Amino acid sequence: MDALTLELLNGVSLFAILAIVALGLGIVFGLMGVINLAHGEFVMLGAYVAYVAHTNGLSHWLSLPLAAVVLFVVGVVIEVGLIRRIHRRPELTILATFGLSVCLRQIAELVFSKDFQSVPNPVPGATRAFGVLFPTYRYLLIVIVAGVVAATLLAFTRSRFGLVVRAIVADRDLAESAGIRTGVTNLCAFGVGAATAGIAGALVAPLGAVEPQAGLAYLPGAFLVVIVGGYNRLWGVAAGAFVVAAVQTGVIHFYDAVWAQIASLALAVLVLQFRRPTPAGAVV
Amino acid sequence: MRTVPDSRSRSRLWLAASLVALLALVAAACGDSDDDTEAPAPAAPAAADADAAEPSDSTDAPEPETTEAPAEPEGAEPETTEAPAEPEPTEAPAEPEPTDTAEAQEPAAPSGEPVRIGILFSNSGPAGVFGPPTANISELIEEDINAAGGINGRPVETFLADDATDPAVGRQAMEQLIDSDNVHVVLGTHSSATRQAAKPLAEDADVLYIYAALYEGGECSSVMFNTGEVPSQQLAPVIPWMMEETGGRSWFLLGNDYVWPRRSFEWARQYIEAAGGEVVGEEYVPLGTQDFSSVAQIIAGSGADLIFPALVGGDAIAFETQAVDFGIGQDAIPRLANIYEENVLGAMGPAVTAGMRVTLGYFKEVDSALNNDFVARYFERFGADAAPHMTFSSHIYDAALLYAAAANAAGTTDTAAVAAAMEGLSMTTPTGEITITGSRHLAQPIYVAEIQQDGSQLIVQSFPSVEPDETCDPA
Repeated sequence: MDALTLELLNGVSLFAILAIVALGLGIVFGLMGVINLAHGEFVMLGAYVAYVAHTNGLSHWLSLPLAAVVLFVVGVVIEVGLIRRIHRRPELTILATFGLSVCLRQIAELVFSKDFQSVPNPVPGATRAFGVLFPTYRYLLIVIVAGVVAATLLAFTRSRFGLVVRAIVADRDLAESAGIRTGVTNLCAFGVGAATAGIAGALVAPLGAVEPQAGLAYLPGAFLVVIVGGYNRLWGVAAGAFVVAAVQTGVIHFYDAVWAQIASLALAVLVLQFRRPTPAGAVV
Repeated sequence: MRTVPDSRSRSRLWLAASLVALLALVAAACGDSDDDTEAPAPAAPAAADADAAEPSDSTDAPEPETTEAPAEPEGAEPETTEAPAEPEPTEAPAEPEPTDTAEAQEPAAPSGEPVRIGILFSNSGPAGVFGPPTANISELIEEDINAAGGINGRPVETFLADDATDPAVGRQAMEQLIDSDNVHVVLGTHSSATRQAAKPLAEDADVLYIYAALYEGGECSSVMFNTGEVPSQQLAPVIPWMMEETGGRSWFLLGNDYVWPRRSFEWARQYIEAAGGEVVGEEYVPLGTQDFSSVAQIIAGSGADLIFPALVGGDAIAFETQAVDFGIGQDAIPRLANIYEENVLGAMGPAVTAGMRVTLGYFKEVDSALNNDFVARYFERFGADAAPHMTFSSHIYDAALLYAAAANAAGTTDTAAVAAAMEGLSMTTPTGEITITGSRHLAQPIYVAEIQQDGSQLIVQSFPSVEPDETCDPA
């Protein structure tokens, strides 16, 4: 019984990590049609923000909004300097963001060196709940991710910004003709996508290594979630993260971690086979 | 006005994007990003019970030449010196061999066309973190060999080539060393995948290739020597020691999913069972795993007394930092690690690592006069905050000294002649006493370091001249 409870909690925390890492990728891909291969590097930079905050004696929790702000600015600069010029050409965005990812890794290496760094866990230890001991930090991570995802969904459904975004996704040119400034919206979407990646990076920093190459490990997982969940619905990110987390946790529990990875890849292939096109204009 | 991408073209676009993403996923899953030192290597020879395959009959051959003096060893060519087969544990680290014989007569300054030593190493990509100490050591290699009179009176020059932790790049780097830099020998510290890709070039060009990184064993080629630690060396003496030290007898083996951890665990299982212990769990995770929650639960449920983690880089850091919160940290279940090095341990932090034991062929803390001087010189030369000298860079340094001694003994840089002189060659370096075995591997000291409360490494046990359990007959 306890083993099952623990495994459920493991599944939920993995779900939360996958969802927050993939959220920004889903936003940028769904709303702008831009395949951002530098998304993992945004996560890596978010982790470095947490590292710098730690070395300067700031609270880890403060580093979350800080990472969001820093990565929002980074996202805006990259949108203006690069993405804006090519965002209607998906093959170009793939190439350009791949190049960008290499540049960001090298910049991180020049600034921080190749060495592995780490951010200490602000709340070490475990909490007893539901009859089992489970790491306290993971409980907090789940709550924070739920908050960030809910806020993002609300912003895209309830706000005027969300309305504008949906209009653009439905028909970009018609929206432009109606006087909607799609440029500004793109800028915001890319900035927000980068900001959520920044939060993700800062959140996962205490769970592993902070290093220039760290983003490479996050990108495949994020793409997996977006593929499984569907690309132009933000709910899809949550659904995709849920399915991937369930499959991974289940297969590790009953078999092992290597088969878990194979199973999630097979899942993506299956989903692609049977996916029906999402109606245009659906965002959430 | 441009045409609007309709939903059809959007979904085609989506398909293309998905294919790209899937391709990336598959690439990642297939473990092409073989982190760190070792990766896919050839089939394993050496049946598990074929140990002590080296006959250790001719024991007392001429004494080794000393480190600083690869000077004219005319006549005194060392014959196949097999160190004692059974490693005898001693509490004290290997005693330094005095080098006074060499210091007495100043060697003549080398002159003429330099002997070119290529160094193939990982300076970027996932294993790039191990690059800087090797780059530093290449300068000391030139300095020290030249100060001792060079090779056959000629100075040495080193050439560095980076494999970017990528076998395809490694092959090109090897090509550059051989074809453009015209090196006489290549010293390598990189993944086994790169070794497999680069080896045929060395064989075709008949260039001596000394692979100095710790690896899974089993390599055998007429142009190659393998001087890194192999699993049989890191584990045979240390596993029984660990069980005695901690009183634990049931082990959990957790590794990344590629050949080096799998081969290491094959050996480990054999030594654990021989020592009366048992393996209660064996799990592999893909390279680049970030979440260890489910694995932690499996370990906690296994009832293991000891964990042997063969995890590399970021995976090791993720596992160990998460394990503490799941109640299976070092304080609950002691670790014996075979690759955790300073960089990785430093990132985990002493709160996580204090008490862990690590088995390797070299630590900069090795307490011999020779090593203390060498390490002091290293930090003096490259700065107190330089990337610390470690087992990879130390083995490259030793490989260069072995080559210089062999080439001096042979009186030439001809590959076959130097290879013949390599066999049985024995010397004392900052690592300790090392001897090239008949299997073209290296009998070498194995040290166990225990991580202290302040994060420093303290050598708590050393085993001199541990024989590798390898066989090789390239002829």
